[in-house]
Formats: sequence, structure tokens, C-alpha cells
Amino acid sequence: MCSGRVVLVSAVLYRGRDGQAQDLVLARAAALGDRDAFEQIVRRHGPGMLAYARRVLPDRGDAEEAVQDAFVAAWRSLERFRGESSLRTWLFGLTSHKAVDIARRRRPSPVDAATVPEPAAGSSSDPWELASAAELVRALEHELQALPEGQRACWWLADLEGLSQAEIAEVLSLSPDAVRGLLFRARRTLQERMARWWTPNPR
Amino acid sequence: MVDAQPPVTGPDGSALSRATSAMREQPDDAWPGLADDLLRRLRSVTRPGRTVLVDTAGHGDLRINDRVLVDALRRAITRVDGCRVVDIRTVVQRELLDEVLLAIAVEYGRDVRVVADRARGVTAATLHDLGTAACPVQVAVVDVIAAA
Repeated sequence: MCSGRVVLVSAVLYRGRDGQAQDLVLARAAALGDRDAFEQIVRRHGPGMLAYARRVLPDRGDAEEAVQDAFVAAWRSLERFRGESSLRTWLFGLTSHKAVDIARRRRPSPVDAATVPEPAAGSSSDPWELASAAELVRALEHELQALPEGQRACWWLADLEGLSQAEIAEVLSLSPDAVRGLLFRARRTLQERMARWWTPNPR
Repeated sequence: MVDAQPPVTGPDGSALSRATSAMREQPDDAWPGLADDLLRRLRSVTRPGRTVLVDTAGHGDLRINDRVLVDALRRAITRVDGCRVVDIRTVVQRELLDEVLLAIAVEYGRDVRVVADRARGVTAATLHDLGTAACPVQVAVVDVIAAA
């Protein structure tokens, strides 16, 4: 019979029903070997990680590899995730590092705007609505690829994924001031360039 | 006369805002296939761990990865009513299990000591079934959770 003692460390009522609290529960279970919990993590965060990786790596195969490598690293090292940052931030950080590793291994190649993927059709039945949304997304993809990588990454993480500047700093291993500067320049550039795409044509 | 143009403005009146919203809603067709491939790959990924020597009653040496041991303990302790496993740590010295440290959360309204004792008892039983030597099991109740 094993001996032992019981220690009451804290008595904080667990109220969390939000995503971040659920993530922490899943991360703890997965760290202890619960593969079902890890699968939930993969399905929750994988789409966002893939979308991000595809904007920082021009090749689709490389982006998928970065996400796969990030999740393998996460599975192997989850017990090191202590919850100081959100699980999402931690996973994006892994994705970012894997993307950098892959980019360093590949020979740099100029970005070809023609390789920007076609956006999927929207759900609206209004043909003007469909055309404009698809055209706008295509335009934005084009302008995004023209941004320097750091600005592109900061903008994506902030304005598509909703990460805070502090979280982005952690993901990209930058200072908060650097993130602020990159984000400001990205937003200003995109605002200017996107406005030019829709100049009316007078007769 | 200006050509008729489709509506292009978003919530703040900019094409960028509209494009950002549209892009956010756009699904990535590659994800479902990648998810399946990824989960298949993860099934074969092993995690590094320490080796624990197991008693086989003279039938030869058997060593198990302490991750296997932790996973077995997690499954067993999860079945204790009113108990959620927060963390399990093993102390291994020269391939022998020296101590198990449990961190659990107890359901609000339960007797903390009773739940903790049950968790410790299940741990001891599981370790016995796995063939590891008896060792102290320290239990820390680190949180209180709402009743399910």
C-alpha cells in the first residue's frame, strides 16, 4: 500500500467555460498522454495555424509541413507548456519557428502573384456580392505577399487571428515595440494599396 | 457618368476592412486532408521519457517508459468520481520508481480528503498491476471545479 499525504494548495473555483480555459484543460490532459484531447487541440487550432503558415511560406507543401512539424513538436513537449501564455499563442509560436526553419532550408524565390490561390466562392446569392468578395480577397492576398515578411506575419496574426501585440511579440520572438511598428506600417500600406484597387472609372 | 460599382466598403468604409472580413470567412480546402494525415502521423510519434524497471516475478527484465505509466495512471484516476487529473509527475531513480506526485482538482461540494484518498488508492492499485515497486504517492489538491 502506498503511503502519502494530501495537500490543499489552493481552492479557486473553476469557472472557465471560455476557449482559453478549455484549451488549458485539453493541454493538461494531452500532456499526460490523452490522444483524444490532443486531437481536439489539432482540430481547434490547426486551421488557423495553416492559414498563417501559408502566408509566411509561399509554397503550400512547406506551409503544411510547418504545421505538421509544429504539432509533432507540441505533442512531444506539451508538458513544458505551463499556461503562462495561451495555448494558441504557444502553438503559433511553434508554427512560426518551424516556418523559419523551413524557409532557411529552401532557396529563396521571388513571390509570384499568379500563384496566389483562388479564393473559395462565398455563400451569398448576390452575384455582385460574390464577385466583389472574391476580387477583394484576391487583391488582399496579392498585396499581402508584397509586404515584407515581418509586416505580413504581424498583420495576419493581429487582424485575421486576433492576437494581441504582446502575444504576437511572443510568437515572433520580437519586442512589443517592434511588433507595434511592423503592424502600423503593414496596416498603413495595405490601407493605401487596397484603396487603389477600387478607384471608380469615370466615363 | 461613373460606372456602377459593386459595394466594396466594410464596417469602417474601407476596401481593406471588407477584404479582411471576407478573407477571415474563407475556409482552407487543404485543412481536412492535412488534419487526417497529421493525426495518422501523430499516432506513430513517441515521446521521450525515462525507463522504469518492472517486476516480472523472475520472468526476465521488463522496462516501461514512464510516459506509459503516467498515461495508465491518468486513465485510472480519471474514473474517480469528482476528481480531475491536473498533473502527474514521477520521480525515477536508477530505473526505479521512487515517488508519484499527483495534482488533482476536486469537484465543488465533495469531501476533498476522501477524493484525494481514492485517487491515491487507485494510483497504488494501478502501479501494483503494472508491476512497479510500491512507493509514496503525494497528492496535491490544486483546484476546485464546478460539478459536471
